[in-house]
This record gives sequence, C-alpha cells and structure tokens, in this order.
Amino acid sequence: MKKIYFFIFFIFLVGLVSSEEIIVSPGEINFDILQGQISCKNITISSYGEIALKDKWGEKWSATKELSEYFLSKEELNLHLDYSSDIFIENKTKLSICFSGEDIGRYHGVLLVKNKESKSGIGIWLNATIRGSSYTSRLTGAFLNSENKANFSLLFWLSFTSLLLILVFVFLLLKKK
Amino acid sequence: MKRLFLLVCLSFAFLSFISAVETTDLMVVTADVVGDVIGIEVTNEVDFGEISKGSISSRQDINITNTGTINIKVTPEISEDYSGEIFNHLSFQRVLSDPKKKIGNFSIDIDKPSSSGGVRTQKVYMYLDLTEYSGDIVGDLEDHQTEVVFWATSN
Repeated sequence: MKKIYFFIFFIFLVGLVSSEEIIVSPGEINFDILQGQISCKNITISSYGEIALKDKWGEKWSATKELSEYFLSKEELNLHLDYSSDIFIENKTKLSICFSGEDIGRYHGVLLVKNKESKSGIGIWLNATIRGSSYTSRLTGAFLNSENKANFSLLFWLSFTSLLLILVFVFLLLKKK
Repeated sequence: MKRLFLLVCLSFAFLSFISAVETTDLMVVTADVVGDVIGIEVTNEVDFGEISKGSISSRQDINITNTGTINIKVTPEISEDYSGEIFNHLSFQRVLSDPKKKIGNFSIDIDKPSSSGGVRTQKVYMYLDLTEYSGDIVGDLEDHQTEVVFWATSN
C-alpha cells in the first residue's frame, strides 16, 4: 500500500515538472568527516534541459540563511566539492556530491542548481564539519561512523555475559575443590 | 553467602543474556520515505516600459509559487553577467504597506503548500526605482535587459 502511495506521489511530482521548472531534493546536506576523508551524498533533480550547478561558501563557523552572506569560493576555504557542474536532464536524475577538506572547522555553503532556461533556481544548504584525524579519533570515529552502533552494543553485552559465565564457572570449580 | 553470590551472578548473567537477545532480535522495518523537496515557479518576464532617471516605474506584480513540500525563502539576485548599473535599482515589496527594499536586501518567506501535492503562490511587487540613480545615462538604452534569478532555499 505504501508503495502505491509513493508511486502516486512520484507520478504527481513528475507531472509538476514543466519544461523550465526545477525541483530538487533534499533542501539541506550535512557532511561530517575527518580531515582528508571524502564523503558523498546524493541529490535528486527533476527538470528538463540544461542544468548548471555552482557552490558558494560563507565565512568559516558562520551559519546564516541569508544568501548574500555566501560569497566565498571553496578554494578560498581549502575545501573540495566535486560534482558535475553542467548536466542535461530529461526528467529526473540523481547526482553525487562529494566533499572533502583539510582544515578543521565548521563550514556552511550553498549549492545553487538552475535550469539555464529558467528565471528561478534552487539553493541546497551545505553544512560541513571537518574533525581532527588523530590516531584515537581515527579509531573511534571510523568505528562509530560505520553505522555499527547496534553491533557495538551487542558486542558489549555478549562480552559481559561471557565474562560473567566464566566467573561463575571458576567459582563453581573452586567450590568443588 | 556463596549461594547468594552465585544467585546474583546467575541473575545478572541471565539479564545480560536477555538484553543481548533483545539487541539481536531485530525487527526489520522498511519505508519509502520521500525527502524534503524544494520547487519554485516565477513569472518569466517583466517589462517596465519607458523610464527615465529620477523616476520610478509602475508597480509590477510577480507571482512566486512554492511547488515543493517545505517552507522556502526566496531571494532575487541580478545575473552575475550584468555589468550595468540600472537594474541594481530594482526594488521589491512583500505587501504594499512595506517599505521598498533594493535587490540584494530583499527576500521573502513562503510557507509550504497547505496540502500534499498542492502549491502556494505569493505575490511580490517589483519596481525599477531610479529616483536615487546618480549615474549618467548616455543616449537611450533601448531594450536594456538582464536576468533576475529567484533563488529558493529551505527556510
């Protein structure tokens, strides 16, 4: 049933796309990486025609939703944001956006997506955090970021139970003697 | 005393085991969740007609439509390719009682459509205000034009 609703919603969205209109999802992307790491996220663009993409960044640590505050380039902040800046779309496409950077900090940017024939465009907010890549943080960060938090909990309880059983076993052994 | 210790240990082990079983006995839930969607439509062309230095154009009504699923902020911006001065004097009003704001200082919030799949249209008033224009206009600038892009961002 849920799939039918999704299908109807999708058909409706496709129906909304006129020749120059543009629809983008999501409206905001978050990157949380260690120094030197690369993180990729997908965006979906629905439109028809040539699409131009470009990104602008605000001052480091500054978080505002005023577009006029975003006037820096990624090069000025020593950031890397890789994507296809010029694409042709016939209906709907997924686009990969990959982020990396060297300098620790919190960065806010905007990815501007525009159909070249249209007078309107969409801005996707980019929120990026680059953390230090010390040995410890690399270990814990890699483990915690690997979506294995449930496994961590399971591992902990299994280890704890095993330890307790060993203790009980040793206790019983000593008692027999 | 030893029995009590044994009992406590066994109880703890049993509880730990139950917790571990609860962690492993995972229910798989699935859903096709549609993320936030931003969409916008704007009036395609505006002609201010004849206008001279020191005057203001007649009011032009612009319709901006939120076709997405979230609240948006819309910011008009002059094309980066524009090298002239005239259209830097475009100004906007959300309602007629508001003071006019120059392009670059104006943005407008538009709520998401009230129903799923619907749209919400907001009217904006636009002027070419050359009352404070101090530059020189040499000759006539016939069919002087540029592109104004209306950027929609999540609010």
